[in-house]
Amino acid sequence: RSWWWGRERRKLIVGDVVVLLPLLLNCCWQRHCLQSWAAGEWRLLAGIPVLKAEVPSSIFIAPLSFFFPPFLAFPWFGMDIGGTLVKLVYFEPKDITAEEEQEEVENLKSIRKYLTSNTAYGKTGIRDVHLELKNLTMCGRKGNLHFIRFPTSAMHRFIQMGSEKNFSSLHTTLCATGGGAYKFEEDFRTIADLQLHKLDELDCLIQGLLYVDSVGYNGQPECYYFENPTDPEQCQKKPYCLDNPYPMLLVNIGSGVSILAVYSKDNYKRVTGTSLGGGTFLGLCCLLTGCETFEEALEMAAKGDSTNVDKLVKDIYGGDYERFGLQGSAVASSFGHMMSKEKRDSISKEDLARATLVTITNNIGSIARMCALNENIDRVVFVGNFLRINMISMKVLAYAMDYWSKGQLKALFLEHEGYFGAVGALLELLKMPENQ
Amino acid sequence: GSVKAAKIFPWFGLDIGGTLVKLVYFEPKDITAEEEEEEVENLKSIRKYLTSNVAYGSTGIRDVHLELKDLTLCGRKGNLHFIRFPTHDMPAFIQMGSEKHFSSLHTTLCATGGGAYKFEQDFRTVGDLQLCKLDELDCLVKGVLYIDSVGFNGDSECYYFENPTDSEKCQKLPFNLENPYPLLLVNIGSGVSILAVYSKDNYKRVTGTSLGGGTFFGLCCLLTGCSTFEEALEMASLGDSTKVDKLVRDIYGGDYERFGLPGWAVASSFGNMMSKEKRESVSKEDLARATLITITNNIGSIARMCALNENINRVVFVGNFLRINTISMRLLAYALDYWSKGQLKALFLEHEGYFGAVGAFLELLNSA
Repeated sequence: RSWWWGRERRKLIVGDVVVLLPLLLNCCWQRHCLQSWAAGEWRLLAGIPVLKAEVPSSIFIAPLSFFFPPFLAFPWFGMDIGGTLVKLVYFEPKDITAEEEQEEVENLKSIRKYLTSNTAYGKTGIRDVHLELKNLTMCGRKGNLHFIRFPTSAMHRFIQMGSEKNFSSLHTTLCATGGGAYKFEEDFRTIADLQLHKLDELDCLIQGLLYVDSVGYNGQPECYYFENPTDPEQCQKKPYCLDNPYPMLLVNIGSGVSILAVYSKDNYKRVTGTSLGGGTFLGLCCLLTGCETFEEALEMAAKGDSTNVDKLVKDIYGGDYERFGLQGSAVASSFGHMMSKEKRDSISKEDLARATLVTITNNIGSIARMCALNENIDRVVFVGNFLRINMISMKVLAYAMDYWSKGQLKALFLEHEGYFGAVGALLELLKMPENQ
Repeated sequence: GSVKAAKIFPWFGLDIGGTLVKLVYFEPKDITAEEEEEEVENLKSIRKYLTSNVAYGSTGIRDVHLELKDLTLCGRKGNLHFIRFPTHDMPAFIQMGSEKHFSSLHTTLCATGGGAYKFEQDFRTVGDLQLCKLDELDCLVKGVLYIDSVGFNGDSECYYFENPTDSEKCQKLPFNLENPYPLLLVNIGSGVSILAVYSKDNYKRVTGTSLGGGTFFGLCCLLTGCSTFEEALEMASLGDSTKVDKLVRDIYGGDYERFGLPGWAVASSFGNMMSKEKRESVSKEDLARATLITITNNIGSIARMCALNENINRVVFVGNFLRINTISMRLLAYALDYWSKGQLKALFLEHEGYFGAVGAFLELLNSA
């Protein structure tokens, strides 16, 4: 007790306050600055970023800012390491001054050139050029946002490359989400000397989605829906305004499926999930048809007829099951015909691929519909790379949502499908007060 | 009393499903000498044929262990028999009915299931028989309530599993369904229907899924080359689905703690099968097991969502997908308990897939 209020301790407390208070104040100031900076309210004063509104007092602040410039080191990446694919978003600054370019370290420049001059990397990396977002302003910098993907099975090569290119010497933070951010964390550290900043995949998904929708798609809307989904002549892709998105049901179809109810930008819950996702479609297709890639599987599915494989209501009832409103054309038992050897011998690989696609898609649609009903939400947004180049599934989902809900539910889609987690990770990076 | 001006024998209930035909037959054991004398020849031969055999043709089977003894129905005492054969053999069945002049017996044939509609005309033109068509879900509900009320030869019709995943400790225990309402009834046949039952006359079809027993069986035939349900189940019992499925720990390296997903949970069914290497390293048994687990878990998941939505905590699973399928039953029991944190209970019934036929049979006895 005597020590607590003793002179020694008083000296310590006073000493602490004297040293820490300015630092605390500066930290608060820095944080305030960064928020303004993120909102684009900075300009350069004598080469030093200062708040526009505070120019008069910036003379006073400038020296402090000089010692603690809130600049985030390039390169700016967001990474989402999923069960099947790694999604990478890369911000390419287009406003680099001559001065900056001179100071730019060699490996940073080579990364920038490598990524932006190629659309394919190694054997399996691909840059989705059509998704590039041009002339974005992020954290006071102008540039383009690039979208790159490669299979998670190539992760070790990626880490190896990061090690060979001395990525760690750039002292940048690597923000990563998805299960792989946890699974490969140690490999990043031990092989490439990189510390990942791990983020939750669903947090990133939502933040990424809201951001991309807010900036739009090079002037076009990011969000769309289908009118007349089952009429091949009349089916039309139409823009949808997601200005007031809440509440919304978000169905993320990757290797597996997560379903989220989003009430506001900071308030969401994971309603449920299903393990019958994109990975199931691809896995089963590979087994049943001998195909090897997602593109092959979809191509086969486009040519097949699932009604040869599935047992429909009319196969059992001879027509509709009127009592409960089940049309004869509805599937009663997926793959139900395949217990008959005769039927097995009469169908093609394309029919099997189609049946697999339709089965997985309808199951997801059905579960999504139940959740929408449970949660009292009428807009269902489908994202995830299962829907990449997969028009069949999108239309099946659009139709199913509309039909089974008697028009109450609307299926919505987004152009940047599977990249929102990676974007969310990038956004998290941009929030960090990183000192150079 | 007009109880004697009662139903003409034979008394059948027929449920013509997507894969199997279920037939219940009431064998009277209180036939008087007088009655026996008057009995027409083909009626006697039907009775003897059905009760002296346990197999019919190459695909018909009588589930002797399910026989209900000493039932009293409409003033008559007798045994209730449970017979099944593939719907594929329906034309042969109708042909037999024609050859045995079944129509001359002037009995009503009460039938339910999709086939009652699909084969109605064939029955009429080939067998000269007029079917009395009944809705399959009406019959299902009535059949369940009746069988549970009479019990299973003194034992309980309804049961559940304690410690379902512990192979040593797993126990099948009786469950008293006396106050059954409300009840979620999940009928897993070729496809699946899920009903919320509020009282004996009040139920609704909540939803359904096309990923049912027919899917399991069809996919198994394709993936493993098996040709019967029994073979498929046998393979499944020997396989390891974790080689085929991508688990949470395969993606996260462990649990996905934030949302309470344990590492052993399946993240993506068949998710490992996109890799050629892995495809070459799994066996047919692994594939059969994965198919069973995938279909079963999907049904369990959907049932759980319905139970939550409808605010019902007892889920009864019926249908022939569960016949001799302890793996699925235990998995459903476990999954429902685990994912609902003990709020939901999975229940099962001994007469699994026969309730529709029983319901049709009861309708015969009810009709004037």
